[in-house]
Amino acid sequence: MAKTFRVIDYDIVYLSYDEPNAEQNYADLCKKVPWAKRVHGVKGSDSAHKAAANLSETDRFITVDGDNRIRDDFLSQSIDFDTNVDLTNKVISWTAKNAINGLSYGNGGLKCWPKEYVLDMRTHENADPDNIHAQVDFCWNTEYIQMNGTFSDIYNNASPKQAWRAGFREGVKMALDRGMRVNIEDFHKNHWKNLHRLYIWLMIGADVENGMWAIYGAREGLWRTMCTDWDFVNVRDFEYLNDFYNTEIAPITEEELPDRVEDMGALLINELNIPIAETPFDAGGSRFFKTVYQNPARDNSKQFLDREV
Amino acid sequence: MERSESEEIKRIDEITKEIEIVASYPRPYEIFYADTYDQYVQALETSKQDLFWIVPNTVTLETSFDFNWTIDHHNQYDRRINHVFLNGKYHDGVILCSKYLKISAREWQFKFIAGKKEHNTVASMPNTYDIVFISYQEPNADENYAKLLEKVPTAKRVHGVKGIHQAHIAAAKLCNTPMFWIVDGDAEIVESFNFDYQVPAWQYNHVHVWRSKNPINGLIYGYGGIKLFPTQLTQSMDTNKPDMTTSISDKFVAVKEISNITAFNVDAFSTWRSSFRECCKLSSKVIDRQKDDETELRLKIWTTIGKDKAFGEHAISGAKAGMAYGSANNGNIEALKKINDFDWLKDRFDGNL
Repeated sequence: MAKTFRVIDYDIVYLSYDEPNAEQNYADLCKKVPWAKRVHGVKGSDSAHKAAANLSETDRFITVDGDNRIRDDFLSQSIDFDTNVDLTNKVISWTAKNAINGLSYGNGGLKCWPKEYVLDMRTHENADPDNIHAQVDFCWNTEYIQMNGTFSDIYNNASPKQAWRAGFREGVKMALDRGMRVNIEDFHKNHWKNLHRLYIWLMIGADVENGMWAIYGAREGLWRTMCTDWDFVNVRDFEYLNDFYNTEIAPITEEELPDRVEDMGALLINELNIPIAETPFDAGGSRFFKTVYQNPARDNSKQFLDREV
Repeated sequence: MERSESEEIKRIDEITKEIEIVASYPRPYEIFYADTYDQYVQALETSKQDLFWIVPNTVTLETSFDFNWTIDHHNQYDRRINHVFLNGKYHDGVILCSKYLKISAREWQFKFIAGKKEHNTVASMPNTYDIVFISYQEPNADENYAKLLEKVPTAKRVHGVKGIHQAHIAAAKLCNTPMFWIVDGDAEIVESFNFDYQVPAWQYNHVHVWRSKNPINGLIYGYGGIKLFPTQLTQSMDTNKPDMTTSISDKFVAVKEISNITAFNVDAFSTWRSSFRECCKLSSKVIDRQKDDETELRLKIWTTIGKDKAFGEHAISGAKAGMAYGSANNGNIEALKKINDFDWLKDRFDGNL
């Protein structure tokens, strides 16, 4: 016996903060989901999600991040769950395809949240200081049902700042183990899917606008997390990241960027012994990689995510 | 042995000999006229076939549309989804509904069906939206209404209702269409404007505003332009916000077409009042989505240009007074709401002069 979950039955809330392409993405969402609601400019991921929960008139709601565009077929999706599956506190997560590097995984993807759970949770800026797993992400404190379908595309390269920040955040977060900093030996024991995704962030994207800024961000995020005593919890604070960008990154010119990327690559190879090259793939190499790379499935039922036509 | 429908069809195909003689035609699907979700559900429950037509009362059917169109029983995919047909420009009119895929209340409300196939056959045209002319004390109102009636004989009128919000609520209550046009009492409609704009049903919660030309300072933007409002939302609008348009909905479409000249400079008070109200709104930033540089430029033009035009000095004087009042009361909702009270404005005008 199955119970059917239908996307159409739930509120869809667009969460934007300061994304340069937020208005275009919201307009696109409204064309595809005329009843979409919006939360804009709420500081802190936990608070923004609570604002979305408060807007929701259904017992679950689906979030669309500010840099995300849903695909046309998302609204007609339905999932049959076994009636014995308790969905009460479960978050349903779909993969999103990243325009910079072609990765499809949970990062930035569509998620369906139980309203009450979100109102009760304490993560990110609202996390209990003793709960180290909840400081910088939802994912270590939340039970997910991970779907294999890709129903949205992430465009987080509309400006150098947006691309750098996206890369930096993933560079930090993918170095962590259940939200905690680990030593270099344990870093290499991270799940292979995470490590591979991290390496791809460090190498791929030169074929898209501002892609090199994302690569630089990912390299810097990883380096600061693994090779310095920088407080990685800052990764949750967009204002901190904006200030950091404005003072440390914005002065770097486009002409200087390739050298900075390579220098950071050399540091990472030297200090972490990771299998990347100092020089990322160029535009042709990135395009080639994105064409042939198959994203792994999120569960063991199959090897890869469905190949996109 | 129990077989699925598709297995049964396959089995029948295998044991059937096809003979090329027309013995019968498919029975046309039932047609239900439905505006509400309850009416749709009733149709779903009572239809004797697994497909049935829904025709909303907001459309006029094309005589050429073939309601005898059917879907083959072999085509189980198409029989199990909903089919939408063009209603003018959008697929928001006639639906061929499947009993196997119930439309949710929200899909129905927005006429935006998720599990659907779009057919580019025009089945209907949207009914024209009601038009309401709103006048209060404009000296040129009767003349402007007469001109409007020449263009659209069915245009309705609300006259003398005190308060901007209340006048628009009264106008909405006169209307039977999902959207309705608002023509202000001082609007001189340009020849090319035809009230033929179509809003897709999923945007029936959007406020649409056309551009008008200001006869004193030449500004062309939404001030005084013809508006297309959602009828239900207008009837239930929040009357506590100073700016009426954003009281109705936060969803806004600025249409880049000139609809009229806003001929507000017909006497000293009307001119002063209009300038005061607009510049107060601009300077107090009560209008959502205002862009600072655009607002500053408009204020500069309102307060400096047009002295040589009829009642131009009153326009500039009202603009300056309104700008000062708006700046002084930025965030003071109670003070800002007074600009919708024409008696208060008259007292202020008399005092100013």
